Amino acid sequence: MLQFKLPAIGEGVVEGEIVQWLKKPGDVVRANEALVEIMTDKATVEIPAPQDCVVLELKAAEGAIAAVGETIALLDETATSAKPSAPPPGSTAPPPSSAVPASSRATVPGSTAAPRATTAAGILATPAARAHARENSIDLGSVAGNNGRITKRDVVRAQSEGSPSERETVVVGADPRPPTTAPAASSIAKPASTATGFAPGAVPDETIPFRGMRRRIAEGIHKSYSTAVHYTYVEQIDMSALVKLRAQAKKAAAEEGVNLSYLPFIVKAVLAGLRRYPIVNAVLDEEAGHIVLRKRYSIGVATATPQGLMVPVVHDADRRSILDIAREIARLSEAARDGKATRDELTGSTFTITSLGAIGGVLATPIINYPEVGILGVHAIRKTPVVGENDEIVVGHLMNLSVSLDHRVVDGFEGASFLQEVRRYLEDPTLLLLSGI
Amino acid sequence: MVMAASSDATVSTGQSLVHMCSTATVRLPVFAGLACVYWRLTVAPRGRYNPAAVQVSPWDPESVATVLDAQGSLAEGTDVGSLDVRAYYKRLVAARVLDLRLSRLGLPMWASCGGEEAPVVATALVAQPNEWIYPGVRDNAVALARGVEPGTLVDQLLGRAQPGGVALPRRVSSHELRVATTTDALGLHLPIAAGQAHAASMGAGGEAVFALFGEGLTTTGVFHETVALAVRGNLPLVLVCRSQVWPDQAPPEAGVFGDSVQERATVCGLWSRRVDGADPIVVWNTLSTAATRAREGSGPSLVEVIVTPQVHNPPPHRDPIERLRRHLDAQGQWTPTFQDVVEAETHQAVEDALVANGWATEGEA
Amino acid sequence: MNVLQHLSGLVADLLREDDRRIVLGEDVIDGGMLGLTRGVASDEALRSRLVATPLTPSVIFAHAAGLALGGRRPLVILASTTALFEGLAGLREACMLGWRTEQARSVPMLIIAPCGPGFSLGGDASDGIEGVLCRLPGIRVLMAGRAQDAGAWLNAAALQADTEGPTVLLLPRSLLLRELSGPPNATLAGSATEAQLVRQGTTATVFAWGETVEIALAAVARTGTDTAVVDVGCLAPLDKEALVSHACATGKIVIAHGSDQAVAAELAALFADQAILHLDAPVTRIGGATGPTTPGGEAAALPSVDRLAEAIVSVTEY
Repeated sequence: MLQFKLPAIGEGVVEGEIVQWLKKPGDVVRANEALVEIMTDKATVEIPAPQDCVVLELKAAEGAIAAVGETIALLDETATSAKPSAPPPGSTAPPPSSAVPASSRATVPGSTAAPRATTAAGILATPAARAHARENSIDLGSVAGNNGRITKRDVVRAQSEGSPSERETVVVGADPRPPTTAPAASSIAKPASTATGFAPGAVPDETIPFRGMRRRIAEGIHKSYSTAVHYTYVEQIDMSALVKLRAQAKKAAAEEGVNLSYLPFIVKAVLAGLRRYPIVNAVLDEEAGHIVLRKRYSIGVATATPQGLMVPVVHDADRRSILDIAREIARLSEAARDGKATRDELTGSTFTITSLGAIGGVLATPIINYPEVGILGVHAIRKTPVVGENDEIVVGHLMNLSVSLDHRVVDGFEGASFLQEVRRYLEDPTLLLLSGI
Repeated sequence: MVMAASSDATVSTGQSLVHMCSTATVRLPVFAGLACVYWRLTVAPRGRYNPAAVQVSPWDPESVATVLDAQGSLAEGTDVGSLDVRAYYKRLVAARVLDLRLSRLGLPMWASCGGEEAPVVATALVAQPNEWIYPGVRDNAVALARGVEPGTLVDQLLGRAQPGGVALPRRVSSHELRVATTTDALGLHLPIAAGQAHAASMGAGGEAVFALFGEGLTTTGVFHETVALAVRGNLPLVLVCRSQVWPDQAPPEAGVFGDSVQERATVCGLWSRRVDGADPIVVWNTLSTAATRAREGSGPSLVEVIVTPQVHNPPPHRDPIERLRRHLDAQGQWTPTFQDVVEAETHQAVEDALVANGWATEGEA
Repeated sequence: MNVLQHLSGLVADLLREDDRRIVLGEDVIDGGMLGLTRGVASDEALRSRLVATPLTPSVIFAHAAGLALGGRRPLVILASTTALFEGLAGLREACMLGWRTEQARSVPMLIIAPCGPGFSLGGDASDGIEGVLCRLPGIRVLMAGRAQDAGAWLNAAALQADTEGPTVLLLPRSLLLRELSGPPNATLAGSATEAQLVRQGTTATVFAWGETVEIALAAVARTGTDTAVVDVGCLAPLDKEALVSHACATGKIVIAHGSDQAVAAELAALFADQAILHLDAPVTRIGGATGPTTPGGEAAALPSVDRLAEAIVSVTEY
């Protein structure tokens, strides 16, 4: 029997969360075949089996945090058939583990099969939990489960904690159907569900487990918001010149196979701002009692992925061309969405840009990607009437930028000046040329 | 085992018998007609049969005890004791009528036992009312001879549950009349009978237990184990073995061809006798002796009875009923009318039971 | 005094208290393979009721059935459950007799056989047979649990009504050579056909019989949980009402069995059927390895305390 320990996944990683077991007890796993999905700080990686083996038992439940070096599964490297076979005649005492069918193992099936108490198929609850909930008119959706499922114990606990009146409110509000007979006012007081005998809790709330990526994001955001003293400064940028330039550059980029958006230009403008105001490209190390001015310019690009917010990093953006940055952003975004981004690609940014362009909005208060000290929110470019050089009204392309800064490190003056510098480069793209892109 | 349907002769004979009987709604007027049927049943057609010519035929077994010769003459000095020969004869005819009528039903797995009546009926008569008989699967006539109502018998044979007993189809039993059920596993009624004999010997004593079986079973382990048990415990067990002398083409399951079960039993330490099943008197006599030995505590015994199945169409003197009829006739105790009444009694009762069971309609030809 | 010696005395007592009783088996006149008839053999008044039989289990059972039909109370002592496999035809006929005659000719006979690992015999000695036996119509199959109860099981098994069919009492070998600690129980808490609650508990319930009863008690002690242990004891016919009631009490069920899975499967199916609304965790079976074993590998036929404890924790925390 082989004890499968959580390997060291990356530098400085001491623990990981079991996101999902890809194999269950009794499954045959080939060498290098993915066995488990582990999430560390920001990367989710699939960890392969070290050799051909049969999964005997999973020691860590999905959602659990395991330390590096901790045994998370027991593997049988001697058997490689799914069905444990009887010992060959004449052999000595077989290990009990290989001679008994998988079904009689202590590992209960639900511990590996159901990551969430609520799935597309409904709430996972034992028959006893359901019976108890039914008898006591408890909405199972309001019961917090354990190990990804609800047992009778959970229902009894919920029963002793929750008050009946609260549950009633939930039920009334949860009925989505329009009133059928009575006027609107009375229909609220006397919902149709009563008349048609809808059981309480027929439309249960959905419970999403707070763990994995969501928990990582929350921890990071909370740390940032509760530590850095945020202030946000918004400026309107006339992008007319850049719009023209980009329209031309887009064609040339397309020939290179690159879909050129405004983001690489904004990155370049930000780099110009950071060079002029290095304090914005800094990291505050409170413990050491100093501010580190980073000499590496690595721009994080906040990206929405199915798992949640991720920030892949364009390392050494100052040494890259516009096209190179465009290519890198496209590659990293895809990797992040597919969950294939490496730990290196997800860490080490010195400043972060979060693009709200597709959605728009006038201003935002971006939360700093801790321990950085600044983050830039990019809004949509909108055609807006503007006053031209000769006081005529012309069609302008205006865009808002919202920058959030850590006031502990970056003073208001410096912060505002940083954004004005970015503005200068965006409104006059020839400066970008001159700065040697 | 030979299926009844394989012998056209027997079936057609039986059909004639039943036909004549069932066309009548009143019994007495048809007796004269039945007499003709009787002759067809028990006597070969004229011209083929010459009693004087039959002294030793290939049908007659060797080394068997007999007291009634082919013509039905009783050997001098034979003591038939308390035997009521006419009553014995009536039981034998009833057994034959039952067998012929049931053979016509075309039941699956049915085997006729015509010609084998003597050891079956004699066991029923020899056993005391309190003594248990463990019959084999074809020995239905034991129950009839013990006094089980033909209606009950038919119900059991057709698999109808009866109050006080659940019989398997084709198998009969009666707790009151001490007829045990047969077993599913072939031959296991022998050690059960031995066990019961063992219990009897431990009690007040004076009680015998009877078990019937065919010679095929004597090649099995369960037979020899039973013999070993019986001899070792000196049990009051009477083993009644029906052996067939196969004129031709003995099937493999018939056992050791041509040997004598009695000799083997003797070697095993049993008191044993080999008698001619065509001679009902010697069968009864020998079984009576064996039963008396058992009751007196002299131990177990085996009586091997050489029978000739009627489905083989043997000469008439090999039919125990015909041989005993000749004996009664010679004594002036047999008349055609007597024959008709005996046949009609059983036949009518069986027919009524079949009608009640839906296996025949009243007046069916 | 070990359990076998205790039982030997009880067999003699059983013959004394009912003169219909008679013992059949191989070498029983000399005390038998297990020495269970030593007590009888040493008593001149009882010796005549020992019957040495041919070594053919089928005929022994049929012979015993005949004795029962003749008003005796036969007690068949076998050297191994292997003899039950060999004698299945005879045992089946004995079981069928009651049905055939609507209990007019029942055969209240008792068969005693050592089973399971314990003597390092190897082969199929430790292979379970209860699943096969329980299939026979009209049979009663009992299996002694704790060593202290072995005698109580024998006494209870011998209490047979006239209308009953054969009873088979299986005695786990691992109990037989055990020294008795303290006075053994003379009677069971209930009748032989009742499931016994041998340990009270509220969080989970372990169903066990035979050797697994003591394993279950040890496993519960190891977990420190408040887990109930039920000695199923009577494997056929099952005491369904009581078993379902015990299952419903906690809704968290572990079934601990030896190498025969059939009874455990039957119990699991029973609970899935009749305790469904009370189930609060997967019905978990923990058993030993099936099939023949080497003499040294017999222990594999039983589940370990560790595996059982793990399962108890697993369902408790489910």
